[in-house]
Amino acid sequence: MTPTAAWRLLGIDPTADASAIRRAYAARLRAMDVDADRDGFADLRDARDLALQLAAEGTLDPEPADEAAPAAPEGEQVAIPVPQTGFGWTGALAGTGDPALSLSPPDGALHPAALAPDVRPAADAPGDVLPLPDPADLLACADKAGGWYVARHGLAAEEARADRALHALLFPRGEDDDREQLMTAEEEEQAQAALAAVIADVRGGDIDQQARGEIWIADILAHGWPRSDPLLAPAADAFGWRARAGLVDTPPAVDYVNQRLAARDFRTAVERKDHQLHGAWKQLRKPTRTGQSRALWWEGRKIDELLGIIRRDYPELEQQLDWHRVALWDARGQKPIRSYTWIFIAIVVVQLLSAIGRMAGPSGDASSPASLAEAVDTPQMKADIGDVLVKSLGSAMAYDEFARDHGGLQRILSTNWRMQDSSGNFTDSYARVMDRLLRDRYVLMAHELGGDHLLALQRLRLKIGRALRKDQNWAACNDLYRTGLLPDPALLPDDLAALQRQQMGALLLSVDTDPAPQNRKGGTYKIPGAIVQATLDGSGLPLDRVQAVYQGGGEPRDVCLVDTAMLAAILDAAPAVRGPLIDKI
Amino acid sequence: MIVGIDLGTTNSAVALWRNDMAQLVPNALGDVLTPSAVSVDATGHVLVGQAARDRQATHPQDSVSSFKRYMGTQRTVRLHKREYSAEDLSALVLKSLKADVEAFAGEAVTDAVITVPAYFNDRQRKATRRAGELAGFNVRRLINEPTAAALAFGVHDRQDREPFLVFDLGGGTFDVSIVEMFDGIIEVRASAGDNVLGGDDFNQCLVALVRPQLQPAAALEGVAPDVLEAQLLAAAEQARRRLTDAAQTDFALVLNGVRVSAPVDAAAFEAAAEPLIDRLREPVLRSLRDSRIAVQSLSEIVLVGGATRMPVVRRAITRMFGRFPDTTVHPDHAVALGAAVQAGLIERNAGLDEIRLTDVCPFTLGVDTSERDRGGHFRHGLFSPIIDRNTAIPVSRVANYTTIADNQSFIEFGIYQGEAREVVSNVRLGSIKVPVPPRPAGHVSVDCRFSYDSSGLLEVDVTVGETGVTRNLVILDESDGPSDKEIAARRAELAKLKFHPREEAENVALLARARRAYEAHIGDDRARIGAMITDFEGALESQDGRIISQARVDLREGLDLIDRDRWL
Repeated sequence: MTPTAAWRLLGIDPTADASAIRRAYAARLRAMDVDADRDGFADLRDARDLALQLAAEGTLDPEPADEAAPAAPEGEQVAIPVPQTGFGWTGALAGTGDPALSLSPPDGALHPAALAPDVRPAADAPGDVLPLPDPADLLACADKAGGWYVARHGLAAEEARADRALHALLFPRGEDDDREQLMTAEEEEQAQAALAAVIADVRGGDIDQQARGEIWIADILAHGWPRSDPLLAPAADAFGWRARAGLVDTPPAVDYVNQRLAARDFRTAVERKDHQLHGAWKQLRKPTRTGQSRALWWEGRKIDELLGIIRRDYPELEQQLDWHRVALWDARGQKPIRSYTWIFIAIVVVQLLSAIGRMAGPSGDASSPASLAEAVDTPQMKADIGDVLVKSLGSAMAYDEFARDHGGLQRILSTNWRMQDSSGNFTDSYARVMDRLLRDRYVLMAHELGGDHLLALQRLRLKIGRALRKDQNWAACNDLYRTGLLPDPALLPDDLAALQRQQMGALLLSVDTDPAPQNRKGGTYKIPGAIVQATLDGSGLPLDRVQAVYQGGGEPRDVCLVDTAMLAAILDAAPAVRGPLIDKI
Repeated sequence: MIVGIDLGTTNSAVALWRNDMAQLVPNALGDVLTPSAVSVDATGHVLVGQAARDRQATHPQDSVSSFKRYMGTQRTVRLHKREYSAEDLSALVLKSLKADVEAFAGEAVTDAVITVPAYFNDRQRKATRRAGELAGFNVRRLINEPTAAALAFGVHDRQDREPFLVFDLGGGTFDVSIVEMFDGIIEVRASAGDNVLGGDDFNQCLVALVRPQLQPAAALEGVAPDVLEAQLLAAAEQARRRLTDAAQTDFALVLNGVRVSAPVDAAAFEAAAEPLIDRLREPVLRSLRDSRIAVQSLSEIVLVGGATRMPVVRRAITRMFGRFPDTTVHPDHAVALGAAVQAGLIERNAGLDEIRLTDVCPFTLGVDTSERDRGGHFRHGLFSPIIDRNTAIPVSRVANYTTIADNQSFIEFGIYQGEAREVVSNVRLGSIKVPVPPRPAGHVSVDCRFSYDSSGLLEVDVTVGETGVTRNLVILDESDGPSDKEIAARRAELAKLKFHPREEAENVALLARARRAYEAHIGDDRARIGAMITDFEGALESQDGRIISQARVDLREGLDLIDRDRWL
């Protein structure tokens, strides 16, 4: 619903007069049959709500003024992010942080010193957390919370409010880390008194204040857990939070408190001897001996059920179990024994074969362990690798020569072949996967060696970029520039594919490519204004879109045009300018 | 002509729109309120209203009241060798009201608007509609009780009003509605409530408080438990009403000729009733939150329902809202008058030309879905809301869902109403199944559209994006609801029941009241009442109209002197 549509539906000019808006709505409503025109009714309601909102805000002009696009700045440096190599492991596994162990309170809950979003504090003094209804109550709070707060902090009596006392007890240093330290018995007593005082105050106010107070208490308890653990039950009883568990509109902080209470109840229940999962609980709590690598289990199904319940509903209880024993339970499904068995069998078989070989004659050729390794070089593998050499590198080199002169590359190709053969897991054919690998390797080598190789690579990329742009293959063009890697030759015209192949072969088969090249790091770099101007001219796009591409965003089509133009400009520039940039683009 | 009926837990009433105003219709006894009670006497005649209520004190096994609590359930009660469901009993009350209107207006009445608590779920609403049909009414609309009260309040002087809150605490249900009026448009902003909170719960609370202290305790032993329960609740009702004006009173009843009593004071009762008062907060909070209105911007608090007379409730309300509630509207009459206004609106009466009413649906409506949790497992039976509660009706919303398994052949949507995150705690309205093409999990997109109209009819449309297959379900009948033929059969059954003729109603009611008074008193008072009953019965046998009416006056005056307890 846009503002203009809203005013049109209501049939009036934009106005800040709320009663005029409502009168218009009334007239329109009277003229329609809501059941027959359901969507019309919904639109009319939306229009009226939007109009009232606009009237309340005081903004009536819906269209923002268009800005004129400025000319490109001269001589100014512009920062552009360097494309990172896309493949390879960046070192971080997704989701290794076990969310159960962190148990942070839900998002959206603010720091306890601030109030819930729909609440306004009466006073704006910093650290003022809860406006109490009556100033006379301040002193009453102080009495109930005990003079300890005044004595400890040397504050005047008016300052000794129960809510501040509670906050100070739960966060003694005012940081979120405080919650790891549990309260002492004395602190707990004081906290209970402070909580009772706050609850009594909250209930004395009108219903809005009660709601605000309730949310404040829930937030502070949720943030202060596990330090606030002894306070959860009294607060939940006072406000009836347990009755509201499991409703769609329960506030997240109340949900959090309910879950912690449920976990505590579950623990109490399962520690009773007559609970059906009691046996499993006792087993998992038993500490293990140091170095114990196996354990005996009984009632495995109950252990499974208990662990399932704990992991799903009460994650903090998992910390009460013996971690090593839980790990043993989890590991028991992998059966490490089995691989030992196979290795043992393999050793026995090899010994048998060699024994047979020795019995058969001194010159048994297929029996010595050394020849086992060579025999694995099957003809099929040699044929496949030869295929790759031809298709990807344009070379008709014989396999043996290749294996001799380019051992590193041969090892990579043959290892990959063996992996594919044993697991049969490649989604693409071996040739395509190797082609991709070789292409990426070529790019990295070119960058590492620099000089003419790099120049040749960049010139090739420009040609490819132009070809893809002509084909309007924006997605592939975007990939070319954003990842810095070469595309599948199937996407290119034949002559370009041949050129790519020839350049790859030239570098990979002429230069020793051991050890493997490093992944390139990301970052930003600066280019001079002349290049920027050339880019603007070459791409034909307005400055804001070019800037969007520079900052790493932009649509694929824009990226293609801008980066092609920029690459061309850089390659055309003087070697002094080109030098530092050619590595980055 | 359409009439408006307030079918309450404790009392019912009927009203008409006539001469540009809503008017309550008196019953055969001349009262505008008819207790919702049914009793069957020894001759098999069915008594409805005040007579039945009085008879409940003397023959609790043959009488029943507060059956509104069981609407929408299958629970039946056995009265004098016959089983009656809550719908049947409500239908009997409605029949009696129908007869009253026809006598008052002098013409046949076929159409009615019946009120239901705003928080009645779909099952309960359908049961109310069926009760109306069983009584011979064509139920044109079901209207929410607080909305009806708002109508009565607003149409009265046609002023523009800032949002006001209707606080309806009746015999068995509690409803809160926030209503706004401008230029003749009455708009309900939000509704919430508690279906099992009302005056009856306060009665039970009082019984629990007093029971251990009743003296002599031995008198409680010899009484059958359900009879004892009924007597105690009736006594609690009386004691509670007395506590409205007095700081302390005697909780007293007579069992088997022995007077059992205990003193009870208002303070102790309030302390015991605190959990019930706490339960009043949640619906108020919910309606304020959903309508996004602050307590200070409410223009007034309108009290509806007899239980709002209790001082403990009044005090709680004053504390909750920081101001005194509005008492211009009669708490017992407002709902019926409002129903009559709605009847007039439907008839498009000239006087109500400019009024329009828009209501909200008080419950969230949605389907059951499965979600992946942190561990990657699927949790089934989670509620996915499609229409949020307190959205203006009529409304139509659509949501999108996918499959959870590879090559799934169909999706079955269970349709639920409620606020709980797990659908087992919500009310199931029905289900709809749609076939889907075999695809990997998550690749099939299915749209589910809910359309809810002003009369509370829900229509579900499910469309599979790829194949264009659609399925439609209109939640008219639940699987366990009766068919039209069954309803006709039950109506015929009810018509076969015997009722006292209308002219006799006053005599029957008076006798029932006298007999209850006889049981409730001891000693000289009881003897005197006994004598009066004998005189009246003798007059009835004479069959002489003048003698009978004179005897009636005598008996009534005699009772009024001794028996000060009244229900209305």
